[in-house]
Amino acid sequence: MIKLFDYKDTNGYNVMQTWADTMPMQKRDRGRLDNRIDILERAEANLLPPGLLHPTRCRHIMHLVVKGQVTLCPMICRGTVDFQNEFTFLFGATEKDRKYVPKNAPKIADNNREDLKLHTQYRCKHERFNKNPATII
Amino acid sequence: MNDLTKTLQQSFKDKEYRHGYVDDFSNVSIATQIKVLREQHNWTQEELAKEAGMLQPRISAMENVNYSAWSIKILRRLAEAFDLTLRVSFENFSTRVGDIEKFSRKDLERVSFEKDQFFQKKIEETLNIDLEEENQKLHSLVYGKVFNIDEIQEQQKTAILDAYKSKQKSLQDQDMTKTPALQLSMGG
Repeated sequence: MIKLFDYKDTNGYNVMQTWADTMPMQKRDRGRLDNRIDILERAEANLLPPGLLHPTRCRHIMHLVVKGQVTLCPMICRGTVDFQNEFTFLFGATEKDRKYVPKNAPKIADNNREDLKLHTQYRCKHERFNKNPATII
Repeated sequence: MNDLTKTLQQSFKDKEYRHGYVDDFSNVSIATQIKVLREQHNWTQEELAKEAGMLQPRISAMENVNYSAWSIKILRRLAEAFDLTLRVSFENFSTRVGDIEKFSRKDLERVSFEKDQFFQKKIEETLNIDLEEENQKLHSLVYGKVFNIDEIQEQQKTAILDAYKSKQKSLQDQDMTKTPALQLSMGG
């Protein structure tokens, strides 16, 4: 099993949870997003499903793609401590007309990754986005 | 029950959510299985395309988890290329949770007909029958009396009752009918 982490900013806020909470997301899309994350968690070293992670123009940054009413692109990187068995969610973005929103999302994610390399305490175990879909509006 | 199963048990109570989740899982699962089966055959995408009578870019598209335009006709062609059979069935959600739970390369791999053990063995090996043993059982049934444990208990019960009745009869014959009756109780 892969271990998943979320980046926490300098104020200690889990940026991924904040993104997921503020993102207008239909229940169906949230189901898709959760499935992709569960698959990533179960991916073996010899079986990363093709197309699950998309590269960006920043070398170490990849993102999931969850197509729905809004295309969700949570930014992710390997590690940052164990590069074989860990992934860390760094920043939440969306995609519109083949462009990231915000435009510099991969760069922000890369900055967060650099930050995390210096301060490993700026991350926590990944929490499932909103455990109870019944509460989603 | 592990954490994911518990979480899905709760989350799947919402219809929109569970359909979104499981529809996406189906796409991921099929795309990944095509890749796993191709690698099991040591084929390139080009080679699989040739076997299935398609073009390589199509195989590449179908091996991507974001592909969702599946058709049974195309899947049958791929199944034939791998010398496997395609099974399409409606399932309940609990079955799907099990599939998600055990998602792995090993679980997606299949053996083609040529390597299928079922068709390589003789019928008695497949059905796990020892013909010699079966023959002996049949011989015992025809020529010898074989009791199982319940039959033996029943035999003993009958023998004791017969002995009791016989004793009572002999006592009656001797006009000693006032002898208290023997309480006989048999555990069943």
